[in-house]
Amino acid sequence: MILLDTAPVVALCDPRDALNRRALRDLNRLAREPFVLCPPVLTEACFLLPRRAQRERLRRFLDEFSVAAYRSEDESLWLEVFDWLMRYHEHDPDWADGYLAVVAEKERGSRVWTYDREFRTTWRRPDGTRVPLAVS
Amino acid sequence: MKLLNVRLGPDDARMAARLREAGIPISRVVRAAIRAAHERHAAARVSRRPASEIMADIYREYPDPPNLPRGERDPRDRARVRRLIRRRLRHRSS
Repeated sequence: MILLDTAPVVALCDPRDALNRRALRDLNRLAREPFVLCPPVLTEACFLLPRRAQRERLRRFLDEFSVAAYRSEDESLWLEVFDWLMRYHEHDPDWADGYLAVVAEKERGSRVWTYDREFRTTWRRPDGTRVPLAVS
Repeated sequence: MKLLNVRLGPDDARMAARLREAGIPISRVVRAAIRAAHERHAAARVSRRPASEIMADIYREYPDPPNLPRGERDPRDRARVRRLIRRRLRHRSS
């Protein structure tokens, strides 16, 4: 299972994005694996893709690649994300960062597709292990 | 083993009840249906064109309007993305 982060989603849906070519290369490699999108990532992506054409592309991308919604959210997940945010508060993390780190621990075998350098350098799963990444 | 709850409409519920009466375990039916759907899904993915070609079609179908100003975001820079979102929120509430 590949957990999508905001940057690759935005890069794929905006061909003028600086990361678009890289995201397309990565998509060719990863497209056979199941993609999962968490609600905070979708929210961030929609903020960053405000135009109609961009959102049409986002909708088509989600449909064409059978991107599944992350469905295991409940209040306990929120509390775990808050715990994670408190642990890393000096680094000023976003809700989506914590959400992905927590879900990456819950969904064993999952990998996060992100271009956010902090997933390599700083963020860890709640148990302290590295977040498995889908791209280097 | 994980437990999966499925909501059934009246027709499906009726059919499920008949299967149960006939001694066919619903759990076995559901597992078989999931496996079959998964195989179909996997086969469909394997036979696909390169993903970048599919995206190229999407770009052609939904092009940007002409003279669109260049964005300022760098999605690798979370702080900048956050500032951009805050600015949009402020703009929306003012």
